[in-house]
Amino acid sequence: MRLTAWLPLAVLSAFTVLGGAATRPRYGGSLRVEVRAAPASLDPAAQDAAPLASLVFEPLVQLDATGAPLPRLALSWQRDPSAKRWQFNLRPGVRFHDGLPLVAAAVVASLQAALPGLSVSAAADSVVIHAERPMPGLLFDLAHNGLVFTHNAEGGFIGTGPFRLASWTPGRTATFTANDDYWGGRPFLDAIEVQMGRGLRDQLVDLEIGKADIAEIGPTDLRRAAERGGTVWSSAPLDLIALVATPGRGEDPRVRQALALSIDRAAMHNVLLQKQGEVSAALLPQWLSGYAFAFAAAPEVARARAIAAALPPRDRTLALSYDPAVMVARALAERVAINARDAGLTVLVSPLNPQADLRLVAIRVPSLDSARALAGFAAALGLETPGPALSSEVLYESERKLLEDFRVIPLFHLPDLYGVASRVHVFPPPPIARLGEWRFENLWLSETAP
Amino acid sequence: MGMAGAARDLARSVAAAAARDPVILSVRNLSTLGPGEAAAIRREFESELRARGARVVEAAPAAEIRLTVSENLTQFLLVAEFRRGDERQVLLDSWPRTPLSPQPANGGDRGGGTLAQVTLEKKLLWEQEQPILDAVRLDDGVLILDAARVLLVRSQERQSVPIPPLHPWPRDMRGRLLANGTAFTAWLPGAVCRGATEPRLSAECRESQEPWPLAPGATAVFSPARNFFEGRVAIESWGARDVPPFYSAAPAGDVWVFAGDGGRARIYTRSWEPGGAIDHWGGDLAGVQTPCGPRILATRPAGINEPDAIQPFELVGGMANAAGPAQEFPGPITALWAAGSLATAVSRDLQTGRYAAYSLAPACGS
Repeated sequence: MRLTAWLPLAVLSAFTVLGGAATRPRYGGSLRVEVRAAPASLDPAAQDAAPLASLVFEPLVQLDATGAPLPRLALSWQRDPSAKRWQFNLRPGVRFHDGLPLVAAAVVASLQAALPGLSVSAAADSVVIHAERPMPGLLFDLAHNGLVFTHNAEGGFIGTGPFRLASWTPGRTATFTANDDYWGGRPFLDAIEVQMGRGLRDQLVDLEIGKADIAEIGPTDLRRAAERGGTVWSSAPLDLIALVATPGRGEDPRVRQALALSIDRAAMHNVLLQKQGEVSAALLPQWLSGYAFAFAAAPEVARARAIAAALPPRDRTLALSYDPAVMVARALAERVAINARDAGLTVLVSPLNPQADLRLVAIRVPSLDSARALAGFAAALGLETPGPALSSEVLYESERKLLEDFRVIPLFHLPDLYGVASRVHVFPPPPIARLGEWRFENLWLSETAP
Repeated sequence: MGMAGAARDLARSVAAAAARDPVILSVRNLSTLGPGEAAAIRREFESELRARGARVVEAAPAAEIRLTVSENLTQFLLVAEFRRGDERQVLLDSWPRTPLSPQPANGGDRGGGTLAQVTLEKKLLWEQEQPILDAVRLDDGVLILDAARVLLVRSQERQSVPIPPLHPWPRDMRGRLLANGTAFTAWLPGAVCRGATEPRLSAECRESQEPWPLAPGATAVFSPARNFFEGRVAIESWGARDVPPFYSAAPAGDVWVFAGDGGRARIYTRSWEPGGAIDHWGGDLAGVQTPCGPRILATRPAGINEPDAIQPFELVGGMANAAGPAQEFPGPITALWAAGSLATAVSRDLQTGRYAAYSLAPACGS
């Protein structure tokens, strides 16, 4: 950073004021967090426990804000030129929360479960991962799916992370306490108290009345959450929102094509989603593929109308189901129906209708390796498994083929959003990592809870 | 394959699709590459397109090529959307973005085919309220330069000598400090101080236009009332030359890189010929000798109230390739200087407003 000669005086004044007014991070206090998820246990592999697990468990590799891999439990790594054999050298001096040292055997046991199909073995203080195919994206997979754990005598999971699990009431509450012996330095916070299974509306109210410090929020509540000096945190766009055809129903692809061409994603994005996340007609988000914009997302109503007009009248009606648990799902589904009407289609919207022709779904990015992510999306959406893709060109072609019969109509990629009370402060790096993991060891509180 | 190769390869594919129809070309950049690199991509792409017989026109096209420079976690992408009437075709090419794993050491493999990357070990040297201009690690302590004093810190001992305000200092004050045994020299805008740490810390300062050291055998004149080097550079075996004003400079093998205004770093080859530009660096660079070979440490083009980072880079064919992970700081980098195999970085903590000097030691591979 270098100031330019013509930097306005006002900026320099702000510089001085900020410098004098700031305080050092303070230790202590208990952070109160509310979430919708209600996991039964703190299982590192359970998707609904993912953000909580990131307090307790750590991967070998983590990603920085730009997506570049950084050492975590692995201090360094090497791979052979074919990227089929990787060796990870473990960070010395790391201990599990029960006091036992981190050893390669524990890492092997953790990764064998997380990375099926790969050969994982221990070699002194390092771990070797070997595969039949090149794995250029292995670091991303490890950052996403490679949490390291061991078991206690009762079969519970134990990690090495900045917080220890102190108490757990399945689906209701959890308490995490600071790990005084954390290799990366003790967290500023003494504890984190988590209320699970809280609806979005309840969370927002608790944030407003000071009962919660961090609460999940929907896009429509951004402004409300930021009132009273609060802030809003956001992850990268992680959730694919899409329409998915129910197998065995509506087999004529033309009706789905007409529907896809009728949808005005930009209008929904501006109004219903308050410009959060990204408009997308692709499965993989732009930050993961680099080419999502090449899938045309703009409506072509005249073309949609022409296609719909050629359909038999009975085929111009579709039933669309949505899951009320998906954020803004009903409003999005109803807007799809309005757009479809402009194209001459009738879309009947209802919640949780198993007989529906289409479903509005939300699916999490399954991997940070773009090829594995595409395969994961295909599996979750009931599409054909794409072949291996070692280049962006092949990956694009695979994704194009998956979408060409309109069995899936991607709409958006949405981030995780949190409303944050004004007493919560952030010490770098950012508290929400790229995949939505919590890095709350860097948070500090300016005052004790009321 | 690199940026230029990808642009040429993609142009060949697009030219085949376009045949001899007149096409209009538009280019946009969604990546973190700078405008200079995006312009170079356009030049390569358009030149190859024309070489392959395509007719690029400004008006009345039969087809349209929309070229997008994009990126994902591992690659930069070139995406060409070709449209002719109802026909629409998407063509892609790519090149690696950041080494995800260790890079070859000195161009070759290490330890039986393994690859290595440069990591920066950050060690706090000193922290204080006043802006630190530079700091030097001594055998038994630390010497710190700020606008008002030279401070010597040795275990419980603190000694300082004041720097007289010889003339009004620039607002974005900068300074350079080098030690040789017990002697030290501090360069300030329009002034120089020479002193010693033994028997007691002492220094004598005077007005001076003495050039500042950039690296062993290389000096440049620093403006007495601004925050940049005026551009008169002398490099041993290269001779002296005027270059545009710059904030910092770093050697990288056979070339030198000068970070100037507007976030642009200019490369000069041995004959003082321009060798390209890099657009995605900040204003502070340092050239360090690492066990993997010479590398450039560069800041990001961050704002004055944003956290910054320092990342090692390797220059290959005029392109800056990241040679290891970035070392993050809790605020903007206010100084970055090299001293042999080490570098000193000063950062202003955005939370506390205090300044901290760090020693950066590059390590190679595992």
